[in-house]
Order: sequence, then structure tokens, then C-alpha cells
Amino acid sequence: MRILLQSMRKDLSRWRRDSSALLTWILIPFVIGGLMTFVVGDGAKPHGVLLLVDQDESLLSGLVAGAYTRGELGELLSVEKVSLEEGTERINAGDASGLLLIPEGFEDAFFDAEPVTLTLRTNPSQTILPGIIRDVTEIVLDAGFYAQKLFGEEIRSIRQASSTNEKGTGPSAELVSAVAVAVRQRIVEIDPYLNPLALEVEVAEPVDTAPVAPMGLLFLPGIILMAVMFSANGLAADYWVEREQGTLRRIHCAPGQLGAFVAGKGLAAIVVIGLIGGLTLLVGSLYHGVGTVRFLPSLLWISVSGLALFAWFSVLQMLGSTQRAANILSSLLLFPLLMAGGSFFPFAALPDWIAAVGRHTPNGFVVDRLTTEITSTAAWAIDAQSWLIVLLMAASGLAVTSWRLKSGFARA
Amino acid sequence: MSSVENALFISGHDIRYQLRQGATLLWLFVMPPIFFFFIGTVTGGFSSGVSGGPATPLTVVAASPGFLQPQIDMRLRENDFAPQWQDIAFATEDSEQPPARSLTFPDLLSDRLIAGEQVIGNFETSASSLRRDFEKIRIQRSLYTVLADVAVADATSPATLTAADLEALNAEPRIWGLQVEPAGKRQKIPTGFDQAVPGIMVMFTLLVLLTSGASMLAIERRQGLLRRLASAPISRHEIVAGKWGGRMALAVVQVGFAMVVGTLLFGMRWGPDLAMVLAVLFGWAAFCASAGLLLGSIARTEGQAVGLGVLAANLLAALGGCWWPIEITPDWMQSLQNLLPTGWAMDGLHKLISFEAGAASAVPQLAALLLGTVVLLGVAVQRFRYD
Repeated sequence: MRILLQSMRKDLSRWRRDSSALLTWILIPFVIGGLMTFVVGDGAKPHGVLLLVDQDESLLSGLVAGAYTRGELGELLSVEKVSLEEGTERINAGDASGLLLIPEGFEDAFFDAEPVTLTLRTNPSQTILPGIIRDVTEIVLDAGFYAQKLFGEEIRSIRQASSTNEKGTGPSAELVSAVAVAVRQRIVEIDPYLNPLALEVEVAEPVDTAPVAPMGLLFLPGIILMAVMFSANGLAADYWVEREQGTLRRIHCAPGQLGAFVAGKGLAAIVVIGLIGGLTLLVGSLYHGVGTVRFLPSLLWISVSGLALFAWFSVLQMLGSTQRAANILSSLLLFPLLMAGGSFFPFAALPDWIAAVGRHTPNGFVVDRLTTEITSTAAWAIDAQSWLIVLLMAASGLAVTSWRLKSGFARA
Repeated sequence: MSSVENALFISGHDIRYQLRQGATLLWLFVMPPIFFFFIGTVTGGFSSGVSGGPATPLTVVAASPGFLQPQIDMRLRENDFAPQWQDIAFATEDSEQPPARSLTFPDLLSDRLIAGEQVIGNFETSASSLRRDFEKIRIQRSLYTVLADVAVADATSPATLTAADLEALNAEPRIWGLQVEPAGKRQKIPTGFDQAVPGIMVMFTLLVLLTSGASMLAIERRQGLLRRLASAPISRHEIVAGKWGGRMALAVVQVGFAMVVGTLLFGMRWGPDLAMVLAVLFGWAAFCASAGLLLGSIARTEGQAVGLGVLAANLLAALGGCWWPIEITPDWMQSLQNLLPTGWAMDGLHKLISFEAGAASAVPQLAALLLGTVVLLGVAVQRFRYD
């Protein structure tokens, strides 16, 4: 027991002095997480510019232009009216998400049922905003087609009457009345289809998944695990330092103390990882408004999982013939694991096959359960089987580490 | 030996030493393809979910759907689904794997709709939450368009609605057509790997130079190698030029390898102005070499150089548009991109590759990179120290 506590205290004291390593482990996930939150976090929305060349300058072309700035769409897009020359120059320079050209005759086309083509030039270095602009434009133009089919004849007759009336007094009261009746008749005809919608779609919610959480919050578990993985890997590399300093050789010579020494390093790792992961969790939870009741189980999960990852990173370090070889080996595994395990993108944003593989990686397993804990309605949502798995992972990792130390690593 | 020979001697020695380091080789040759694959696959998936990507398989279950089947089929296809119609519902007790996406209608859907009965399609998908939302929007748009078709065809038809009325409506020319084309000369919008490869390449060049390039200088200082160089008959400027040349060679190897891998493994197309693309990347390599030299001169320890390098590279890469299309970032990030060297490099590459806007279009970005290189190199020369 004395060796265990001494080993832990020694490690904690050494790590406290290596502030640059601790700072790096904390800062990298903080920087990445902060940027991710800025980009995809709650309330963060992309914003682009739609350049509009309105050569028709009519009421209908104005209505089309207005469609892009209504409601939530207005938060995504700003519409700027420009000349064709300026618009072409700007879109070719990548200075906007799209350029929409409404040609002259746009409104007449509606009244006269003469086809006219609008041109949308999209920014090829963008994907999402040009897609939204295209979809909205198509919906607006479809709506125009249907309106024209339903009411075109009536509108045309009013228009003709206005233009042929020599006195300039507009269409006659009889004509207006007849058109009003016809329009009402059309509305009555389509009303059964629209009120309520005669063709509706219901999206079945999956029964076995957690409630949908905000995208920004879904990044949090992966970012925490990034901090945990960097710390666990860095802490595990310490076995090489201990070997160079002769500590391992001395411990190996003292009978029955190697196990306590490894357990002490494990406890120190729990403290360091708990602090780093806990700090990331605390900041993330405060920002995203995660309930305080989930903090303790999440922190415990992070710490125990961190111990398991530390133990197996230690085994990995001891597979290398030199410290450099071991570092290369662990880096080679660390980054693909972070990618597949949901630290760069949450599982919800990964292609299904990568997410399926990722959930079976050690860190992905931890991220998956941590997501459950953070997004569930009640605390202590991680099931007992998962707790058992990480505890077994930690115990087996520490046991293999002790064995590897005894079987040669500590003697070298 | 002349000054140039002295500098080249140091550069040659440096690059040979760097290329013998396992960690450098890992970040130079192994990690970039892994990141190309991962980021390209993930962001390619985003674009297919939004617009214009490959069609999404969809099983449509409907017993005796009637004459509306072709109309629904057509609208689903217009919204990037690939519907496969089934007559009976998938039996959950079957041992077969259930379909990833299904849209189930009650039987006799056409008859029910015409009879004034509300028809509800049940959409089930195994897609993850983000993609689920995209699919839901596309399904809703498909079915609401069918409903508009039915309402308009019925209102304009003198008799009860038939398939012929819908065919007649479909045959009517749309009064307002839409022609969509990408700006610039390139006809195919770059997505997935075409987007990811330049960004990751720019990021890794910076990362390798700010970590390996900077830390090596710190190690040489700690080991006294720089002090020994100071006592050799080589001027300070020759040493700095040599150290810069070694880093430049490392950056060129990184860029060259990434371009070859991007082209051969990921089908990256570099546009018609390859020479200018190479010039911009050369400018970027020179900038990274200067930045690596400066960081190596400022950092007190190897760990400090690596830590600061990783942080700076990630921060500049994210803010400069290497990680994601800059369009998805808030306004302030988009403005900030114009002030960052990563932003200049990405902007220049987008103009040449995405827009095919001609070599002259990237001259301002190249000039900015070269100016940045000179400024950083000037500071690095001043801060360079032997111990």
C-alpha cells in the first residue's frame, strides 16, 4: 500500500511540474472544441450572400426575391441586388454563394403562359448554401407553376381588360365579380386536398436511440475523449522516462512491488485524466446547459475509462523497441481511433459504416456511452454492463502492463 | 565553399536527417492519406445528403397503389431517392435484414386520396440524426409536390381525376424553368475528396513544418549543434538560409507526396492551371518553412515547439477554411479567413481548382504568401540564436 501511494504521489508531483504537457493536452481539445462549437454549436448558422440580378423589376420578381429572406432562411442568406456585370464578377471571384438572374419577361411569362428560364450560378467551392438556394428557388418556381395553372386564366382576363380599356377605368365590375367567383370556385375545389393535407408523411422515431440532442452538444463527448486520449497516451509514454531514469529496474529488483507501482501510476493517471477530462466536461456542460446531476456520473465514467485507455496505451508503448518507435506506433493508432471514435465528427454526422466501426473502438465505446449519459433525461444512464466492460478493460490492461514490465521491459 | 554551397550543404544535411526520423515520416507519408480518406468520406456524405449526391435507396411499400404510383415515383426520384416499390409490407419476423429506409402507404392509396380520405405515408430510416433530417425534408418535398400535382390536376380536370390528367400536367411546360450552373469554368462542383485534399494538404504542410521543422531546431540548440556551427567558418546568414532551405525541402516533399496521393488514390483534379497551383503551393511551402524556422527560434524547448506548433497549425487550419468549407462558418470567421495565410492559400487554390478562374486570379494570394514569407523570414533571422 505504501509503494502504491508513493508511486501515485511521485507521478502527480512530476506531472504538476510538467505544465507544458498538461497545457497542451487541455488546450488542443479546447481549441478544436471551441471552434467546432462556433461553427456547428447551438445558434451557430452558416451565412451566405445571394446576388440577385432582377432584369424584370416586377411585382412577381420582387416576390421571388423576398422568398430568400423570410423566417429562418433570412438568417442563412442575405440578398443583394446587383447588375449583371457586377454579379458575374463577384460570383466568379467566389464572393457569394449564388447569383440568380431573373430575366426580363418573367412576370409576363406568368400571365401569358410563356416559358422563361431563370439562371442560377452557384459557388463551386461551397456545397450547403448553394444547395439551399437551389431548393428554395425550385419550390418558389413550382408554386408559380401551380398558381398559374389554377388562376392563370382569370388573372389573364383581368389583365387583358385593364390593357384594352380605353377609358383607363380598369376592368368592369361584372368581370371582377366573375373572376372572384371563378377564383373562389378553384379554392373550393382544392380545399379538400389542403385542409387538412390529404397526403401527409409521418417520420417514425427510432425506438432504441437516445433523444435527439443539439448538434453542438453531440460534439462534446468526442472532444472530451480527445483530451482523455491525448492525456492517456502522454501519461503512458512516461514508462519510457521511468525506464531511462532506472526507476523500473530498481522496482523490478524489489520483490512484490511492481504491481503496487503500476497501480499507483494508474491512480495518478485517474487523477490527471479526471482533472483534464473533468475541466473539459465542466466547461462544455456549462456552455451547453447540461444538468448538474449528470456531472458526477459523467466524470466517473471519464476517469474510469481514462484509466482503461491509459493501461492499454501503456501496453502499446511497451511494444515499441525504442521510445521513438513506441511514439510512432501509438500516434499511428491514436489519430485513426480519434477519427472513427467520434472525436472529429460525432457519430450522428459520420457515414453509417464508419459510425458502426467507430462504436466498436475502445474510445468510440466510451464516447457512445458518454453521449447517452449527457443527453439522457435522467442521470446514471450508462448501463451496468458498460461499467463492467470498462472496469475489466482497465484491470486487464494494468495486469498486462505488469506482466510486460516483469517479462523484460523493466529489466532493460 | 561559396555562401550558396554552405547553405545548400546545411539544407541537404537537414533534410536527410529529417527524412530518417520515424515521426516525420509518419506525418509526412502516412497520416495525410488517412486524413484525406476520412475527411473526404465524411464531407462527401454531407454533400450527398444535401443536394446533387448519389440517389438514396428507398423501399416504398404500398399494396395496390393505383395510378398515383408513377407520380410519387417521379417526385421521389427528383429529390434524389431511388425508390423500389414493394407490394407487401416487410414482415418483421423475417430473418432478412429490414430496409435501411422505407416509406409505407396504406393499401389503395390512389383510391383513398381521390375519395377524400387523408393518406399518411410512414417514413422509417436507420440514418443517423443529421442525415435523418435531410431525408425527412426530401420526403416531405416529394409528397407535397405530388399533392400539389393532384390538387391542380383535379381542379383543372373536367371529370374525375385520372392518370391521364396527371400525365397532361406533367407534360405542360413549366412557365419558369431553372438552369443551374457552377460559376467559373469548371462544370463539376468539387465535393468530398476534391474539397478535402487541398485543405488537408495545406494543414499538414503547416503542421509538419511547425512541429518537426521547429522542434528540430530546438533539439539542435539543446544538443549544442548550433553552437558548433557558430564556431565553423560559416556566416549567420548562411546558417539561417541553410536551415530555411532544409525546411523548404521538407515542405516540398510533403506537398509533392500529398499531390501524388491525392491524384492517384483519390482522383483529385487540379484544374487547367497546374503551374499556378504549383506556384501557390510553393509559396505556401515557403511560408511554412519560414514559420517553422521562426517558431524553432522562439521556442525554448522541444516540447514547447511541438505544443505551440500543434496548436497554431490546428487553429490556423480551422480558421482558414482547411477543415470545412468556409461557407458554413459564422460571418466573423469568414472575414478573419481573409487575414490568415491559410485563408490565402485556400482562396488561391479554390480560384484555380474550383473556379478554374485562370492563373492571374491567384496572383494576389501568391503575392500575399510570398510577402508573408519574407516578413517571417526577416523576424526569424533576427530571433535566430545559437544557444
